[in-house]
Amino acid sequence: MSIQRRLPIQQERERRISIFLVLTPVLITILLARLWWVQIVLGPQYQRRANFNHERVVTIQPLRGIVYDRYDQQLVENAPSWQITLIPADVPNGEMTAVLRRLSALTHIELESLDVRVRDDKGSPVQALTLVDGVQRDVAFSVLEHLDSLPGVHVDYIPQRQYIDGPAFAPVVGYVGLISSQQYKAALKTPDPYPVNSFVGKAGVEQVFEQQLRGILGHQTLEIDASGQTVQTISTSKAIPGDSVELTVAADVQRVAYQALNSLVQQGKATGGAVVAVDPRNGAVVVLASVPSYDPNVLSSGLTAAEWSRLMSNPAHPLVDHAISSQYPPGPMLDPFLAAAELQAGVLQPQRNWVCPQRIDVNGWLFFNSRTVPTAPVNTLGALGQGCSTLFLGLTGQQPAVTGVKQGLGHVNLLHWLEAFGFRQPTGIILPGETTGFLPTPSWYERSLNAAWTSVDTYLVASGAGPDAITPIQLAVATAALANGGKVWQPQLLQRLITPSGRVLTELSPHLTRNLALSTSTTSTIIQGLAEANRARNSVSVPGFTIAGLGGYATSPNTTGFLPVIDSWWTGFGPTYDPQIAVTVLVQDATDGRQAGNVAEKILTEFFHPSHAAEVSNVP
Amino acid sequence: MSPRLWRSFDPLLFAVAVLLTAIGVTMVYAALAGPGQDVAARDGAIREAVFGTLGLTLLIGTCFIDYRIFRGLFWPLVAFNCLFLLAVLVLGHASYGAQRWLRIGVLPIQPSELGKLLVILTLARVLADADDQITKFTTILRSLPIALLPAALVFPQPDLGTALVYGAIWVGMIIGAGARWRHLGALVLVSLALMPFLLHFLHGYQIQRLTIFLRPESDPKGAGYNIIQALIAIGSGGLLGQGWTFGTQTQFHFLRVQQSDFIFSVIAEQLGFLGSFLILMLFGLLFNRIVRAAAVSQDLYGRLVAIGVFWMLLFQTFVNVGMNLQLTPVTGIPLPLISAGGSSLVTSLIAIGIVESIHMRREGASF
Repeated sequence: MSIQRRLPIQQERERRISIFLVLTPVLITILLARLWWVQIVLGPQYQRRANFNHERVVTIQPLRGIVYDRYDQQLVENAPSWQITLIPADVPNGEMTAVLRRLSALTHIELESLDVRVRDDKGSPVQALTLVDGVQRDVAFSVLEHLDSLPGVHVDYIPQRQYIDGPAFAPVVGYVGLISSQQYKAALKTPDPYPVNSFVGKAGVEQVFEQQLRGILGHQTLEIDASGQTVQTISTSKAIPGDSVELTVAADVQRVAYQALNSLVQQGKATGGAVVAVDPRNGAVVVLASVPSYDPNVLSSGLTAAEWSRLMSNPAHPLVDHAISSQYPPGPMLDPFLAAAELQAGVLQPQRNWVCPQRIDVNGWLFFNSRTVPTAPVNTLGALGQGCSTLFLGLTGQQPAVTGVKQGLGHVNLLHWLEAFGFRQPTGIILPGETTGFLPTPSWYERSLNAAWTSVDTYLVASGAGPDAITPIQLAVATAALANGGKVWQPQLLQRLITPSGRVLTELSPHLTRNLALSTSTTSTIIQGLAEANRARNSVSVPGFTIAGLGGYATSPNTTGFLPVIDSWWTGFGPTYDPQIAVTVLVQDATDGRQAGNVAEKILTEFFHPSHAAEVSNVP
Repeated sequence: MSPRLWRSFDPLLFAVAVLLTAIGVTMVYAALAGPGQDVAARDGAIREAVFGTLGLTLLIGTCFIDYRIFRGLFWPLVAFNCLFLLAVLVLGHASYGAQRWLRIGVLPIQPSELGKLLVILTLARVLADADDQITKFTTILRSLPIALLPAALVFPQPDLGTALVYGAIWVGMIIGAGARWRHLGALVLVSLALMPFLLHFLHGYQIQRLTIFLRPESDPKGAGYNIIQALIAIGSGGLLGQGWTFGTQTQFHFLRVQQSDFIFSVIAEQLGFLGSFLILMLFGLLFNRIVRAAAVSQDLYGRLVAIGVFWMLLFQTFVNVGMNLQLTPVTGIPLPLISAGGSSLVTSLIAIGIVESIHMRREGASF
């Protein structure tokens, strides 16, 4: 070996080697810096995205609680039904149309309508989008069999709410419908948010007991692969079914009430009506019917805009619960309450005999009886029985219009007593939409009409033909108070709340709004009077049971101002000396003032039917 | 062969090659594993192990061959390379829309991989012959066809990535040979000037693939999909990784071509920053040993061959890891020794074998 002189090119090559030796760590450092940034600095963020990629949280809908009547008759059921949903993010690129076409062939639903659903979807692509609702068993199963060729498509078992005899119970039970966007957003802030496309109670008991009926959502965390196929279940929390609601309503009686009213409407003898029946011993609502009604099954499955506007523009207002929301002139139905007030005030004595006034003349205003009254003197009982309204009316003024009486009830006492019986205020039933009715007062006159109260106004209020308006449920509660010695109950609908395991959470809890503590003599006079009224007019008879009650009608001008419209009333209770049910019937635009009594007879006959007799006598 | 020759065998270089090959087999398994994928993963790993064993055997075998033999085989190697690449275009086997494989017996072979080594061996001969004439620009231009011709043959397959590797080898080797910086600067300017012309040869999807890495979110379900999924995989690895075969991105198939071009994402996802760091360190050591072999080579030819191998492996590693990390365009370049694929693995190991051969016959080594 010899030492060679290094040429410039060789020195340059040595330098190049040194550059290469430095280049390696430089490039690797660049990679490591980037790696640090992605893995350590942005790591948690990417970890979330990785989880988002491979985890799907599927909600499991709980079974909604059942609604029963007081005898455990089922009023709603959860019918088997399936829902086909799509998670757009799980459909491979460019295969959406092919998937929808296959689905269309399996479900016999037009491709176009499926396509529109997907195109109109504004939600997140990883969120399930409902394609078809209310899918039948055979279709659901054929889609399930072909899931392999339908990436992103899911078939979920979502029971559909079915209402048995829907229209008959709609005013009480209500219906469920798709959650509104406001309700959905509001629930997001609560501990129990709703999934999108949830069904919630929209009216009646379904709405009022929504929290109890809905149950608790289950969740399943699934591990999915890139094609959207489930690899395994990571965790599951079971759905807990909702509590069941047992109503105080007697379904069979309610059905009879609905059918009786509805057939009048069908025959063109009325435009609508309402029935309220309560138990005078505790305020439990036995019947709450309203006609015309609607089919909650149709409302639940969603209405088209045209169907909805047709329902809304119906002049008979099928969506309004006439039993609690509509107000009617009371007419002669206030008589027993005037009598009770006058007896309590000592204006009227039970045994004193009167000649029934043919008419009452107050400053030129004439008030007549609605029927021919006997000329022979009658006591209080007889006056009620014979329908001598003029006597009770005449005694309401401060200076009575009845000859030989110095001191009348006066308007202050009159209004006090009517309000004490529960008029001009909601009864407090749990259903939404109850109205208060209307009774004019001196202060209302001053405020609204800038007029002073006159004695005529007192008579107008008492006659029930003036501006007064009451709801059927108010009259039913007040009638029950006559039957039970003055206890004004808050009407109760909930008999029991029962968990899925059968534990009773809540029992019927009667709530006394007010106790008028009517004297025994007042109570028995009124009861006997109403029994006599019923007997004398032969209005309602139930073989083997005594009934007390009063029928009548109120007239009001119809919209054209000519032919007066008749609202037929009946209110009463039975058995007379052991009242177990108080019934109020209203028939709107009746062709005959006795129609309400006929309806009441059917209702009471059903209530006292031997098939329920055991129940009736068992009640303490 | 004299046993003395083995005293100059670089055990560190060999050990790193064995280690990276073994890591490759393990990670190919991890990349393919998943629910219901046991057989596929095992088969993939066995295939990789077989090629690894074959490659390592050839590495040792190559040590026995005096690398200077290749210097004399210039024309046969050039002819072989061109015919082999031409055969792919004529007879090749298409897959993933590209025609890169030749079926020889049962084995699909990717001649463009072996081509990388052949470009190195032939280019080294030309540059070694030119010796100090490299300082002339004409010498640089005369060496260009040695890389350009094979690149032109792989480009239409289409295989832009490999064509770029040939280019990188050429640039790296003329730098190593001592080309003047101003000539290199001129080359850069010329290429920039020719860029619009070159882009004309690219398919629309190739241009999109080259540029999508700048904004992968613009097409998250299409061209940008895998870049995004790779970043999610890497990022979710954190410091220590999700554990071998426990990567959700890999195991549930969100990441695609995960066993070949995107295997680094699998490594980062499952072994974390720490594991990736150690593997990049091994690569650093590998490159360092190869450059050292170049430095101690007894002749210019050996030095240039080692430099060619260095550039081939360095360029592929940087571009591959870079594309996993959204630093470089996605060009279909495998990660040397790790990515699944027999041709690439065997070629890389033979190349390392030649570097060993150069190291064993180094300047001042005793014969």
